[in-house]
Amino acid sequence: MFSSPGLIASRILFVGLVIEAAELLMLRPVFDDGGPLSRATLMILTSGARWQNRVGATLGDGRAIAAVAGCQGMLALIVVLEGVGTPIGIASALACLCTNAYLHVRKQIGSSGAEQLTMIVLMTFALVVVAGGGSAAREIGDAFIAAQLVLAYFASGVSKLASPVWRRGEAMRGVLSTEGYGVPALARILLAHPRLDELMCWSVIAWEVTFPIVLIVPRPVMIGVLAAGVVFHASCALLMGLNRFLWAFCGCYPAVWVTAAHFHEMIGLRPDSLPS
Amino acid sequence: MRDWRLIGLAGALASWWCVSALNQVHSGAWMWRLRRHIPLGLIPLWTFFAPNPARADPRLVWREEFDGSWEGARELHFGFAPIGSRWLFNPQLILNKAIADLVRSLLILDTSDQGRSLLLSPPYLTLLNMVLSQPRRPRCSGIQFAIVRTSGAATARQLETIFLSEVHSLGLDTRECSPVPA
Repeated sequence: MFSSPGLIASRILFVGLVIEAAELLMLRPVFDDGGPLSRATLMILTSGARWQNRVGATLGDGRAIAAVAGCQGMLALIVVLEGVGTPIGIASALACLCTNAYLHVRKQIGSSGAEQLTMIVLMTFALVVVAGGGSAAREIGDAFIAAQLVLAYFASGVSKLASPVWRRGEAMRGVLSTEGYGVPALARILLAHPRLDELMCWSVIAWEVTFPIVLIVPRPVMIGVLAAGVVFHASCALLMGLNRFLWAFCGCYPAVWVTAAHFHEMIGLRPDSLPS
Repeated sequence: MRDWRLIGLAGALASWWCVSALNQVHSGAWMWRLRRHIPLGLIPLWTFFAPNPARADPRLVWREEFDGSWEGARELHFGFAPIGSRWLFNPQLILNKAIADLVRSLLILDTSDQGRSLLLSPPYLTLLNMVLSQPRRPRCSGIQFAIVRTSGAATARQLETIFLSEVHSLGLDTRECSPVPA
């Protein structure tokens, strides 16, 4: 993603930042005095935290959130349009790190894996820029992002494999029967057809646990694995409302693509197996 | 000629990845200490609905005391996004997850048998503060909150109270709030 800033696919992570900004703009009253995420609440919540984890936690109310979220939305939109290859794109991406960091510390709770990954990508890009921002630094950054993505999927898959609920194929009906993440009609279908739940559970486990092979398989297989990932995250968005995972995780797939190409070169795979 | 910036970048990122990988398997004391020092959640924990997938929704409810009797429970609830649009825009997820995060932290402390020191824990005080911040009728003399788990949206709905707070008396100045002695 850093190595190929001209690609549209390299910018979709920042679409997630635009969406996050819009969501926080809508939620700004909860950060005001008396709201669930007021400064008083955050002061209590971070009372036992170390200073580096609570600096900024009580800074600003809903108006500050609105201002910073608004800035993030505009900056992320610039990156979507410009990419991270131009000076304005680079500056906007670095500014997104600052806005995202403030929003993260001011919120403290309610974050998800998508936000974790987004923060990691933004921080990595900052380090790439500090290291000169040249093609070699960008490729190193891409390799790290690819490695984090592989770790994320593999660790998640292993965690599911260790879970009796997931192994019995009963996880999806439980998740989908919740009001926060569920679609009751679909949960009833899975209750009536438990084999379908088993298939869904084991499909997710198998795809996550085998994701690391994406770095060494021939290009057609890699495309298949990544396409399955897009389908997986799109399904999570549609069925469970996990809207930002699609942009955060699929936004890192270009890093996997580039890293796989270099990995193939290093281990001397045949040219026709190399991604273009 | 070596570019020391590139070597430094590669070294920093490699170390970061190694710590991230260790955090997936070692959630012991030294990893906990390291996570406390590293801000912004930069040491990730990649568990998505595993090993315990969500099967119920945690709900924060509370009740108020007037003239010696308790009123019915009220809920601090932020709603759920419409199924038709939440694939794109889901701000309610942030708030519902915030409550879920607090509840999970509280239950972990509760099961570790902290006794009454639980009353001083950040999750407990945060939930109490959220409830106290809600509009109340005048002359409310006491407040108590609970965590209720709701499940079975697809079938017969089930409710289970999984945590009950102390009763906190409210002074004439309703900013005062203290637990009622056991």
